[in-house]
This record gives sequence, C-alpha cells and structure tokens, in this order.
Amino acid sequence: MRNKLLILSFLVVALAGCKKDYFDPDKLSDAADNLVWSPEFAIPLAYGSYTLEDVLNQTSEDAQSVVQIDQDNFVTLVYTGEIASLNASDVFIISDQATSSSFNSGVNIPLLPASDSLVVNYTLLESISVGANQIDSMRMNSGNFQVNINSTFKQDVKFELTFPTIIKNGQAVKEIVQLNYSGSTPVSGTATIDLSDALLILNHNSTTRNTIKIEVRAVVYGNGSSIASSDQIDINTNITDLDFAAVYGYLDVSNISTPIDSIPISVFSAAQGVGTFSITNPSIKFRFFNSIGVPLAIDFSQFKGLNTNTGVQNDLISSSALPSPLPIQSPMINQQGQILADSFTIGGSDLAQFINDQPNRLIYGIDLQTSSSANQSSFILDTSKLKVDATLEMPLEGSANVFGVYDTIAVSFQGLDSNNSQVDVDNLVLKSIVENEFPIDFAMQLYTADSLLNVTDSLLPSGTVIYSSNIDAAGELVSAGILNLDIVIDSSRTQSIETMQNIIIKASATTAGGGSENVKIYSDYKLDVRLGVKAKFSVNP
Amino acid sequence: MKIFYSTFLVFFISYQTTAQDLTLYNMPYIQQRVELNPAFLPKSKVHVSIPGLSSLGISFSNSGFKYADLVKLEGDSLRLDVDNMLNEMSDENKLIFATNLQLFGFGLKLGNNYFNLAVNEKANMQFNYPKDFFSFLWDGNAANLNQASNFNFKINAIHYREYALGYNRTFNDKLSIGGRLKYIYGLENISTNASDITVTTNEDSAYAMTITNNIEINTSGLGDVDGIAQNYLFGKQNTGFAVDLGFNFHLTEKLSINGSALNLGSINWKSDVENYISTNPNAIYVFEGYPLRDLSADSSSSIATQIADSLKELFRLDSNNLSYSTGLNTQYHLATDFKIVEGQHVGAHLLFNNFNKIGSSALSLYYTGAFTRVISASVSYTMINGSFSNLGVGLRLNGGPLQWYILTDNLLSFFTPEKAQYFNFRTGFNLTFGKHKDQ
Repeated sequence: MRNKLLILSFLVVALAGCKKDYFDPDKLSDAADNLVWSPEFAIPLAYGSYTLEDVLNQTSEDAQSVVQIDQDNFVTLVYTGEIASLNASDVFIISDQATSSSFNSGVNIPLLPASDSLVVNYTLLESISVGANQIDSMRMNSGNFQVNINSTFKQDVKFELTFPTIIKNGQAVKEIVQLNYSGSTPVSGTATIDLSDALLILNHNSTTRNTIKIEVRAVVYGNGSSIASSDQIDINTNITDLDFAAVYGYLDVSNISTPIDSIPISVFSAAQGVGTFSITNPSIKFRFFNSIGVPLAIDFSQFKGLNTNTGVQNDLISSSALPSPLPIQSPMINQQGQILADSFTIGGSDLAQFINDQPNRLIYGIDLQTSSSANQSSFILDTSKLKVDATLEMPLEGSANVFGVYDTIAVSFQGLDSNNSQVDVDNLVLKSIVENEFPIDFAMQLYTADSLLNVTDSLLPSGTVIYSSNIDAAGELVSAGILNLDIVIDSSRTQSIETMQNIIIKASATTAGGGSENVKIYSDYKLDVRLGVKAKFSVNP
Repeated sequence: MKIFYSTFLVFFISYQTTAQDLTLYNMPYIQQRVELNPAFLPKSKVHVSIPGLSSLGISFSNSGFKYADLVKLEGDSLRLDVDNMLNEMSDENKLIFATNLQLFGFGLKLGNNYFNLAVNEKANMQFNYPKDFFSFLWDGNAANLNQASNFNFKINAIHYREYALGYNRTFNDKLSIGGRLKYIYGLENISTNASDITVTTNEDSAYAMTITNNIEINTSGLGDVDGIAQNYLFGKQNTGFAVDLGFNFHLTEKLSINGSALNLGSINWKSDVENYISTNPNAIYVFEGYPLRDLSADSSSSIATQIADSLKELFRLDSNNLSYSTGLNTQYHLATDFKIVEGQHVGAHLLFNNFNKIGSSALSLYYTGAFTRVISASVSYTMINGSFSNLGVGLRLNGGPLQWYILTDNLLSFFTPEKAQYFNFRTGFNLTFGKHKDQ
C-alpha cells in the first residue's frame, strides 16, 4: 500500500511538473523566438494595356498622336511636317536706295536783273533697284521719298517738283523747294514725301518699269548776277523704309531657300534596320496653300529618309516620281486675296524601298523659283503667303520579317535585401503574362546592364516569343496570342537585378506567315502585360 | 509577456459551449435542472437559491484545435507547431465563451403543481474564425491559387438578464408537463448578419487578387455609458420574451422519456443601437499591381495611396440606428432514462443547440446514482462535434438544508488541459427543504 502511495505521489508530482512546463511563459517565449516562418506568397506586381497609339506616344518625340482611325478602326500612321512657310516679306524685298542726277543751266546770261527770271524745266527718271522684278505699280503702307537739291546758281532758285508717279489722294504729289543765295554756293534744300497710302506708278511708257518720274521746274530769280551755262543743279533722291501693301508687275521670287529641317517618324525611332518592313500603300502628299500671285515651282534641295540608328539614307530627289521643279498653283490677278490649295502625291512602289529602310527622320529643304515667263503679270500682297506641308501616310497593312527594335530604360531596383540576415529568400519566380491581339510575333529579350550599358544578365529564356493573335480572313480578331512565362530568379540573378541601372530591350516583329503575309492593324488591338511574383522566404528569429 | 501568454492559454483550454450542462440535466437533486426541462420536479419541496451563489457556470470551447496541437513539449523545452495546428482546424471554427449566474431562485411544490421563479444573468459569445485566414498568413497564398480564401470572421455576443416564472404539473404520476415564461432584459449585443469576405489569387492573371466584401453587423450597448448604474441595470429599452417547454413521460415504471425546448423567443434591441452595413455590398476590388504606364520613382507613394483608398472604399461601412431583433440560444433536449434500481439510473441524452442560426449537437450517455440523501453523483460520456473524449462528472452534497454541487462535462480538461478543447463547470449553493414524495 505504501509503495502504491509513493508511486501515485510520484506520478502526481511528475504530472504537475509536466503541466507546469507545458504552460511555462518563459518556455513559451523561447518557443516563439525559435519559430521560423516560411510562407510562399504570390502577389501581382504591375499591369498595363497598350494599344498601338500608346506605344507610339511613348516612343515619339512629339507627344501628339500620329494615329488616324477610320470607321472600321483601321489604323493609318500619319506624320506631317510644315516644310515651307513664306510671307510676302520673305519673297519680295525692296531695300533702301539712293539716286543722283544733275543738270546745267545751258545758257550764259551776263547779267540777270532783279526784275527778271529764268525758268529751267527738267524731267528726271529715277530707277529703283528691285532685282529681276519688273514693277508696274506699288501701293504703299508706308515709306519715305526724300529729294535733296544742291544749286550752284548765284541767285535764288525756286524748285517746283511734280511727281506724276507718286499719287496721293488721287493727285500727283507736288513739292516746292526754295533755295536762297546768300553769297556762297552750293545752296541746298530738301523735300521729303511721306509715302503712306501712296500709289507708286512705276511703269513709264508701258515699256520702262521700276521708274519714278520727277518733273522739275526751276525758277531762277535775277539779282544782277550772271548765269553761266555751267551753273548746275544736283538732285539726289533717297528711298527708305518701304513697306508695300501690294506690288504688281512681272515679278520674280527665285533664289529663296528654306532651312534644312526634318519630320520625326516615331514608328521607326528604335528601328535597327534589321529585317524587312513593308507597307502596301504608303504615300507622301505635298499640300500647297498659296496666295502669292506669282507662278511658282519648288525644287528640293534635300528630300530623303534617314535612320539615325543605322545611318542608312534613302534619297527621294532622284526618284522619277518627284518632279523637279514641282509647280504650284498661284492666284491670278482677279483672284487677289484668295488662297489656292493644291497637292501632289507620290506613293506605292516609289516608296517601297524608302519604307523598307525604316527611316526615323524625313529630311527636307526647298528652293522656291518663279516658274513662268516674263510675260505673265503677277502680284504680291502684303498678306500673301505660301505654305507647303508634307504628310507621310502609312496605312498599317503590310508585313514585317524580323523587324528589330532596341530600347534602353533607366531603372533602379532596390527591392531585394540580400544582406538581411533575418530573411532568406528560398525561391523567387517572376511571372509574366502577355496577351497579344496584334497579328505579329514579337521575339524579345531583356538585358540588365550597368550605368555604362555593359550587359550583366539576360532575363528571359532564349527564344522567348510573344506569339501573334489568330485573325480571320477579314482581319478580325479570333483569339489573342498568349505568353505565360515563369522566370526563376536565383541568387546570382538577384544580384544582377539589385545592381542594374538599365534594362535593354531587344525585340523583333514578324507578321503572319513568317513575314510573307500582309496583315492589317486595327486601333482596338492591344497588348496586355501582367507581372506578378511568387516568393518563398524564411524569416528567422 | 507572461500576462499575454496566460491570456493566450485561456483561449486554448476550452469547451464547446453547446455541450453546456449535459451533466446537470441528469442530476435530479439539483433544482437548477428545471432550467433545462421545466417538466422536471426537484427532490425537495422548497428550494431557495442563495443570491449570487446558487449557480455559477462558465464554459469555454475552441472547436479549431487543442493547445497541444500548437505547443509541443520536447524534453524540457517547448516548440510551436503551427502547421499541425492548421491541420487540425476545420474550414470554419468556433471560439465560444458562456457564463451563467443565478441572481435569485425559488421553487415550491404544492401537490401535483410546482411553481418556480428565477433571475439569471447570462452572457454568450461566439467567435467564428476561418482556417483560410490563418493559412493565408502562415503558409502564404501560393498553394491556394484560383481558390477563394474565406476570411469570414463572425462575432455574436449577447448579455442579458432573464426573469423566469415557471410552472409544471404532474398527471397520473406518469406525465409531467411544464413551462417557463421569461421576461428578457438585454444589456449588450453584437449580432453579425453577414460577414462575407473572400480573397482569390488568380494564377492566370499573374496573381491578381480579387477581394469581395459584404458586412452587416448590429450592435447594442457598446457606446459610452452615462455612469449611472440604474440606467445600465434597469433603464435600457432592450426587452423580449421567451418560453421554455418540457415534458417527462414514464413509459413504464423503469423507463421514461423526456424532452424540452428552451429559449423560444427573442429580444428587440432599441437602446444605443448601431447598425453597420457595407456601403457597397458584394463589391469587388481587384488588385492587379501597379499600373505600368503610371509607374515612376515618384509615383509609387501616390499609387499606394490610391490602392489604400480603394480598399477603404471597399470596406466602408454605413451606420444607422435602427432597432433589430435577435433570437436566444435555443436548445432542444431529448433523453431517455432507465431506473436500474431506486436511485440508480442510466440513460442517453441528445442535445441540439441553435445560437444565431448556427447549430450544433451532442449525444451523452450517463449514469446517475443517489447513494444517500446526502450525496449523489453522475458520470457521463459525451460525443460532441467530432470530439469523443469527454468524461463528465457531477457531485451533489447536502448538509442539512444546505446543498452544494459541482459539475463538469469534461473532467479530463482539468488534468490534461493541453489536450482539451472543451471546458466547463458549474457550481453553487442552494437551500432545500422537505422531501419530494417519491424520494
């Protein structure tokens, strides 16, 4: 009995001791400290849905969209640039200029009494230098016409100037210049004519143009001095600050050139000139908006496509499809103030090689010239303008075979802390799901690179392709191509991701049938990208 | 830290409250038995419950797991085995607490009639927790792709006082029928009508997470108190009625069958009511990660703010102050009893419990023996909600009119608490006078 009691007591004590251990807070605290947590979480990282317009807006230097969409949602890429914009003041310039004329008395009078006078009449025809232009008349906004007279007569002379070719308020301008002899010669005087709202008739005898006529009547008042035949009158004119409202005649605007400029073609901004690229019906359309009443034509000093990544050029000047010179419609006299619109288009097979060279710049420069003979009367108003723009249209129906693009994105990724001794990343998998509605295979590779663009790692398995969608005969989407890719990020890759400064994207596009079939691109096609990560890690105390 | 772990322990030594008072049902000398079947007759003619001491019952239960499922004793040190704990959990688990305090009771037998009254203070709390949520935190979501994880936490709690007036009558010495009419005074309540939160991680969308939400919770009495005890104890407008019904039928001299339906009624909550309802019920939020086109070094904080705002909008609750009704913890008992010899009985007892539309059941086999007028005892074995190791015992001692009793439906929980999922006991003192004629 006693032994049984001892055994029972021992069991009770032992049991009590075990219970105490089970619920010992200190031991529980130690157990919690030693607990290792090893979950595996799958979380979404990022997502995006991109239409063609989204991609082009990201690559285009110009934020404006170049996508045009028709009623069937078919996409045409349109690149437009203004290649010339000329005002009247750019094409017709009259510079400040001066003329000089002299005439003598032509008589010898030993003594001209004070009660007597001598009248000398003289007509001057002063020519205006205006290059090759033959001006019949000009309506002026403003300007100055100054006449300076010097006289060697030893008498007072009154000059009555009549300008039959300068009309103001319907009448020829007249000026009087009085020169008073005070014992020495020459005696000088000036008349200044404000040409504001004046009409200059520069056509003399219907055959001589660019001429200002001045009729001079000089009245010499006798003072008992003699008049020699050599006594002389000098007339000097100065024309300054001419601002015309209209000019009429036989005008010439040749030798006017625009600066070399370019239109960016964003779809090829990252093109590497690899593979082939064709559009079934590309076109370059020139549009002219002309209110200059002078028959004009354009010569291209430059017109070529350039891929700045590869240096490949395609010169269109030598193309037979581009006339040289290219004539432009101009308004006739009875169409003053009107703007005539005209256009000219080159396209089709003439641009095939141009497109295939994948130019990301259309470079242009033009020279303007008068295209008619001197027998056609013409005009230029102060409001006259000439605008020329060029539009490259690329309806997205065509094919591509390994059409390559290349881009670099600067990044900085500091998400994984491999130096954290409490967290061990056991496994990291990056999931990429791409749904491709475009009828184009995209082969691509992503490279991590340092700040000097030295490649440190490749992220995708070799031969990664985002397959094209399936489309029916009408080009309608049947099903999207799907890429579902798991990329294992091991410890070495983790380090390259942590230290990368750039991601280099190399991709190539191939349309259906290995690039041999034409496909159409519609605006509602999109590329859905989803990124997620599955990570198994251990958190140690 | 020790206080934390002590509190932590309490919630793991627990008992399924639906098994409450199975042993009491089988102990005829204890008059509180009438609360479980109003047709039962006590052994004494008169009984008076000592105010505040006549009946104190407490029960805990955790259907999800035992303490020992989580804490392993290895040598003289402990190890936490969370994986094992999760394996033991069901999809839906319940943490239940209940307490019962009799403030006053009185009973009087007159011939074939038995009158009784009682005032009881009762509190129940049931907290439902889903396994999916803890699996999500511990294991992550990668093993559960494309499946909806259930984050439906629910809490239902009630604190009320019942004023009960009971009567039963015996017919032909074979049949007793009884009932109790109860006036219910509600003090606090939390009632979850809807708590539907799911999280689904879709592998085909690069782990995009879909979150749905629908919440509807009513509360009463959780606001600021005015500090006046009388207002709190008697001044609330939360009232209701309930009835208990029971029968006891002797098929033969030895064999009887009895049953009862308890707490058939409801409370209408009007005081200090707050209703919380999802502003956008059944709304769906899909988290797909950061938008690539908006991603830059400067944008991450603004995008995070947008995500936080979206989640706030998803879980935003509207608040009203509309009165509402809740049921009580309805119970249905059915038992059969066989008298071996006088004072010695065996039997089987079936209990079905319904608290806020959540049901559970138990089956108990028992032996009850009255050895003298002074002492009686009961032993029971109960199967409840998948647990088959519940040994109940009850002891009643009478010293003259003073009666003391103590009961538990799971004795083993006192000795091996680490292995128990159920814990309860009830104890109290009564004053009993006179003998019932069939003693």
